Amino acid sequence: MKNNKTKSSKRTIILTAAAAALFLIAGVIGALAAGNAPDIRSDDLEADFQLQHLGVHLMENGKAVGKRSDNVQAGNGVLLSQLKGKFVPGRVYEERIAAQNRSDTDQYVRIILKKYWQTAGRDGKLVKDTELDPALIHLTYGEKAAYNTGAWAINPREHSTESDTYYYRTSLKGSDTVSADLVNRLKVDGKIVKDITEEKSANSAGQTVIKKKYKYDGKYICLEADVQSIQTHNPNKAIRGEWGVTNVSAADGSLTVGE
Amino acid sequence: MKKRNRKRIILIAAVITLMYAMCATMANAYFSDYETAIGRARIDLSGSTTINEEWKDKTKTVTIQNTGETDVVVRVGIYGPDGMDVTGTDGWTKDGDFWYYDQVLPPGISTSNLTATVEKVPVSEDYNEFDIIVVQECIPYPVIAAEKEGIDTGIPSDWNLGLTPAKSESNR
Repeated sequence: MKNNKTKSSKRTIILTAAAAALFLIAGVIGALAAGNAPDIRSDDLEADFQLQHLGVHLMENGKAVGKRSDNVQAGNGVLLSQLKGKFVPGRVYEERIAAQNRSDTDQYVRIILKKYWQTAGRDGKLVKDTELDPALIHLTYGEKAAYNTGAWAINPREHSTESDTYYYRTSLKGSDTVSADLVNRLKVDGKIVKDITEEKSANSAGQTVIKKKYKYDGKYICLEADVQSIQTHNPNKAIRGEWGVTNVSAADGSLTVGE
Repeated sequence: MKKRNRKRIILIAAVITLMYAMCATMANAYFSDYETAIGRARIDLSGSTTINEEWKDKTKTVTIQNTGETDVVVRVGIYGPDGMDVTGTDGWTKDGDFWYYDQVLPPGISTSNLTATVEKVPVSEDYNEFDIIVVQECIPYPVIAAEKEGIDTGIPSDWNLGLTPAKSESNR
């Protein structure tokens, strides 16, 4: 009995391995067959096969500024350089964010925008300051791209906070096409200058010093932008597989954001 | 025997399905691309200045130095006995009780001189000591700029904005 059982297990293993090997060989033979097909050409049947190559630039004020982890990039990955590190509360600054198709293939794009405050921690490194309100950082939507009704649509399922927002666009056609501006102005609410406390002290010269301390003094505004593009072929599967969303769909060259 | 055959068939089918699933996963990758960028800008609203005084030959000479990290605008009040004569060199303009400096003061920089002379102050036995009190106020330039943009920043209502300097840099 024992011998019969052992023999039977061996047979099972051999059969299973044989089935797997057959499967692999079939695939290899198929590939080889395609590669070694006789060189019979016909003008009607010949077609150029080219792998699809997508490419998208993140644009700020007309310049490509984005970067990727593989270092194939047009910019240095820095936003707000026109502010030279500082700005005036209440003043409106030009800040145009858009996407550019840098390949010759149509593609769908979305931009993820994040705005928040940062403070220097104990070690001097900047950290996100959740006590300061990101709603005080105002971004104005582009005139030609009123969001939700124009070229950009907000996804309510992904708009979880005031600081993180996802925007979807219709297809970017053709090489070097630049989208309408998603946003075009930046301003920090001027009322932050009214958040003040007062301190009185005496200095070494015996003079009375009255200091007004502004709550937002030394704080940083931070803006992050992330542009992502996907193929227009079989787009709904790509949207689900690549972006992980189920309420955005593509039809007739447009992206529709559902509820 | 029948049971054993069934097990074999199920095992073989499972292996084939697994191999197909692996191939199917590889075949369903999507074409995509991305780029990212991040930027920061700092708010500077603090201002710190100090009064430098020198007394010589019945004259007090006053300058204001910016000891902070932000550009500031300053004004100074000098209070003393009747007959005291206060004059400002380049950049100082008097309005009401205060002298306004017409330039934005960068960090580390001092104003030009304000002088208070008591040469003409009458001195008598009963009146031979007096104080010259210097009061200076500074406001960070971003706050003045915000006020000029129409923001109600809460700066003193008697501060003469018409005598505050205008910077030419677009960002300050």
